Amino acid sequence: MSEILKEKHVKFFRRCINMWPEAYEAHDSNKMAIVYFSLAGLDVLGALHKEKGDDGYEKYEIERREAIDWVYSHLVPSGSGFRGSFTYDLGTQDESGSYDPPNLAATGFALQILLTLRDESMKERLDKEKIMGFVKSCQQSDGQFCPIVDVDGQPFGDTDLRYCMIAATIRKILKYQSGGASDINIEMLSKFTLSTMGCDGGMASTALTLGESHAGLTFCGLNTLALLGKLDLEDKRWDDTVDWLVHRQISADMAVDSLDAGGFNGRENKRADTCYVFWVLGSLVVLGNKEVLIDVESAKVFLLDHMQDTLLGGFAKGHGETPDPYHSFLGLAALSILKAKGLQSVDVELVITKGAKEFYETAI
Amino acid sequence: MSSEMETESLNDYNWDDIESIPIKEEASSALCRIMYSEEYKQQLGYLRALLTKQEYSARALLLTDSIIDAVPAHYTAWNYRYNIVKNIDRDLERELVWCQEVAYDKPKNYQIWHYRSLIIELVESRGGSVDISNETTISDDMLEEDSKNYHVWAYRKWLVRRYQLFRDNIEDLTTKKMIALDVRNNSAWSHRFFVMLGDFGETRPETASETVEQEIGFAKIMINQCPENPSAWSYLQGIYKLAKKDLLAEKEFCELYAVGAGKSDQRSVESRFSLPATELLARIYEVSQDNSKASSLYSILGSKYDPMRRNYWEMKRQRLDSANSATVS
Repeated sequence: MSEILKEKHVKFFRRCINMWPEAYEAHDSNKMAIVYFSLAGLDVLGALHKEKGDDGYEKYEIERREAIDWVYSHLVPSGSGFRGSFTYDLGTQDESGSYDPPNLAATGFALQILLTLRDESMKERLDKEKIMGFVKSCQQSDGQFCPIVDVDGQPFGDTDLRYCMIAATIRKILKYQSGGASDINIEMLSKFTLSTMGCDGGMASTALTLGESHAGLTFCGLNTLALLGKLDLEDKRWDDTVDWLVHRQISADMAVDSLDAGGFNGRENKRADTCYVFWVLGSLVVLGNKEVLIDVESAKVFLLDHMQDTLLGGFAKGHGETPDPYHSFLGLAALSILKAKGLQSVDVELVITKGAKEFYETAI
Repeated sequence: MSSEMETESLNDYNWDDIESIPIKEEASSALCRIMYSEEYKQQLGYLRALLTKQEYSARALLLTDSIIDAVPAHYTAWNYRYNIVKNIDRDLERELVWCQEVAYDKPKNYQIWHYRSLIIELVESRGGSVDISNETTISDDMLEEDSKNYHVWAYRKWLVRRYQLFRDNIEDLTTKKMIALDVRNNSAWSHRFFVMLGDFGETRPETASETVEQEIGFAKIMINQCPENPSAWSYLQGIYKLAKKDLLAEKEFCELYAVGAGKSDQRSVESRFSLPATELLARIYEVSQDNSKASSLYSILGSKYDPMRRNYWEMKRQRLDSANSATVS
């Protein structure tokens, strides 16, 4: 089995946070996400913090202060949340009633980046009440969340379990207490989350029951409940969920392509994809450290021998694809759960390193 | 660019009164810079000016088309477009055509399906109606390109729920056809489950039990065609779970395809061996308290037939054995 090509991955992530050619204009909206995956990836590699990494990685320490300021430059003037990129910044002083709103996903990613960068100024620079006020305003009456608020003050945009998890993540990072004036409706959120569960034990996209179970959304659903403190591990219904999750790993007999063996798919009868190794393992961790139920060796072979890009660094989504920051971070985070050598541990609930999680305990 | 827009270009409009608001010049220390093209910078500059003015106009509508084409996840552009449509009394039929063209042009643009549902709601809130067969055709076209497109299937479920298309003839035939085409298409199975049983508990009991029996029969026919297909087995189990029926009724059926079962010798060809059947049989033994049989099946699954999940099968076996000894003592 190949080694983790640490140096190559470090260079890959460094390129991702630096400069992109014109062809990547389509990602102009996703900058905060790209930076989160890249910095969290560097953190898993131990290449972000001089004091934490091996001596050899000192030269890679990024300009931490500048990166932190870059994140805060996306905060809307009222302090209620972050924009997805400078593209959205209209210079509005009061975002209410404007087309310059904060974005729920960008706000979640920004907080995860700040923890990853161990920003000591979070306590002073973030207004918990205001941010939670924004999160609350994104919640629909059925419990789920939209990404933005329209000029008329109503939630706007597509909804699914991803935004539910992001809302719960923001609340957890801010250590917002139940009963606070700006708290979200937790009962409705957990009720909605549970309603997405199908007969096979997986969770799906829509407010409708009986959608097609999807591993990424299952992680988001389970983690939403965990973040809210609403995941009852004694509940027998998770037996089916565990069964469905372990069946995401593709055995040599079932693989359409032998290169898929050991990898994980996101839905029944689909091909293997790097990100689902993490979403499935993460779900099993959330369900009470059940990640030991899968086959560790073949999962590592899938990631390291088939998904790791030996030339460019990073990890690809599938065979013959080019690596991207999302799959690269999730590939490494999965390898960390699988206890591959030389990687920092990952806190599955906040999807940051354990080091960043320790920092969180005291910093906020 | 969509065909409607080909006849209309941004240059057809006068922009002289608009003072472009360029994207902030980023410092060299900024993260994740993109080398924007001049065209992109110009369009964004106009969009930002219009967003600031909150101008609802035909030229603004056209500009959002360009922006969404360049940046499909531009969340304020979608929000803005929706409000323009509402404010300028845009012909909603034409807006639906626009949605269709964006979808055909960019099959991975998933925002379009949520947006389309908003436009349909708008049509109906104004007392109009939507041709459902047109909606079905569009999603059929999309699924022909990518038969497992998650967002298209989710949209299709939204249609079924909204227009009460449960057990509708077209939905029945479409899913049957797609399953026949690819028996492992889990999305098609999932849609069929929703179409047939998505309103379970809301219908008359006779309808429910009739559908349950019919779909159990359908699943078994498809299992017979491809016994190793987990989607069909999952469909069968799902029905039992939803209808709270006793799985014991399927014991003999599972034994036809399972290993380690009493009747496995009677299987005519080895190729009919089915892992999902074996797993379901173990589960049936377990729920019917036939613990020693369940335990030996879990053993053989882990050691021989599904070694990749050996830790899982071992956990199942141990859990069963400890429950067993607890009962005995």
